[in-house]
Amino acid sequence: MSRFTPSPYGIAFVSAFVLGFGFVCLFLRKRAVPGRLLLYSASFNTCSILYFAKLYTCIAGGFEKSLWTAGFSSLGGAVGMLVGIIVFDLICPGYRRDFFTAYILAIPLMYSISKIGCHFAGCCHGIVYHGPLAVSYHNKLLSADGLFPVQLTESIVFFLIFLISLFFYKKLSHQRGLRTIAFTMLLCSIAKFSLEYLRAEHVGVILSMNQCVCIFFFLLSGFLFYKSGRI
Amino acid sequence: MLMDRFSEIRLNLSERITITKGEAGCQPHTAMSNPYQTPEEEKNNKTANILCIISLILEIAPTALAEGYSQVMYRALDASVSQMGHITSIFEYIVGLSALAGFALMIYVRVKYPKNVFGKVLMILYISLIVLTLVTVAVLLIACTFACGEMFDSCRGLGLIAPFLELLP
Repeated sequence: MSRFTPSPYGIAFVSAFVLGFGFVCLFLRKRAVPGRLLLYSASFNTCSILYFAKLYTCIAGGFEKSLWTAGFSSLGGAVGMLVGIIVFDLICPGYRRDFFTAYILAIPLMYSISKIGCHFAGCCHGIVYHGPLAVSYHNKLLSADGLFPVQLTESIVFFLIFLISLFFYKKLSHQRGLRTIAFTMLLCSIAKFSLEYLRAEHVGVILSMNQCVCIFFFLLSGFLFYKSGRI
Repeated sequence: MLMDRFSEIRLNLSERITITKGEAGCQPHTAMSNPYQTPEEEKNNKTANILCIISLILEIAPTALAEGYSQVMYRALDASVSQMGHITSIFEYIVGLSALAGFALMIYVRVKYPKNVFGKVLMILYISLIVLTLVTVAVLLIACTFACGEMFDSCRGLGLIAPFLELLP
């Protein structure tokens, strides 16, 4: 009798959505945002994240794969969420700052949970490394020994970013929404840019596509800091 | 004095009745269809309905066009499988983007015209479709895992007799 063993990647993927949107709902309900707007934004952002997560993989792979067969990219998902918030803001500009703050705070949380799935599956693996905590994969996707656990590192780093950003938001009193958005974006872009060097895909590449996107987010965060009156 | 007042009221009443009759004569459908709807609301309702139709077209049309186009290309031009795959993949991006735009338009209708019935129906339809798709994908994945497990289980004993049957080298 065969047994159904749930895939850790799938569990992490679904958990990222559930916990991320759960956090957004709690955050926005505290600010008295109507429930129906939450439903609309959550459903639209889910579609946007899924679409852009796949589209990003297609673009990065030079359109060799179709949308159905391409995998999900975490950075593409983050871009999708940003697009989703911007579109929703155009539709309903009443709660602009609350929506932006909630969703941008949720990005590092969702990213950190989804990376646990990548760690178990073996995708987005790290460079060859034989020191402590080195991982080996022997599955359908990959068969290799002695790799740097970059997915787990990313997961821990982004969870810390989420906690720091939340703490930063609680401590601020003036322009807290805009500054938190800029601060979170700044930390995420720096972390992602640096950790990209530890990925196997980056070997032999000066500046990857992910890093270019990180530079864009870095500049955007600088602009937002400037706008909030920090600089 | 009282009589004057009485005749004035009667005149006003008869005037009002005449106007109502006139309106009813000119626009019988509008007056009878929704007596609680102001002209402003009616105009909004019309705009919302048009937006809902556009949303529906954005959701359905690209999929239908993609399917039709690939069928025509396949039959008329005798395109190879790789070429067909390329065309289909290009359409996939457009279909996805168009579906997102249709969804955004439905949300716009729900936010701007919350009383519109078409918008409500569309919202229920889209959300049900998303849930149904996710459930179907999950069920299919589980079913495939079960089927593969069953297949490998039944093939386990084959290793012993396969060399005799010349199935395996």
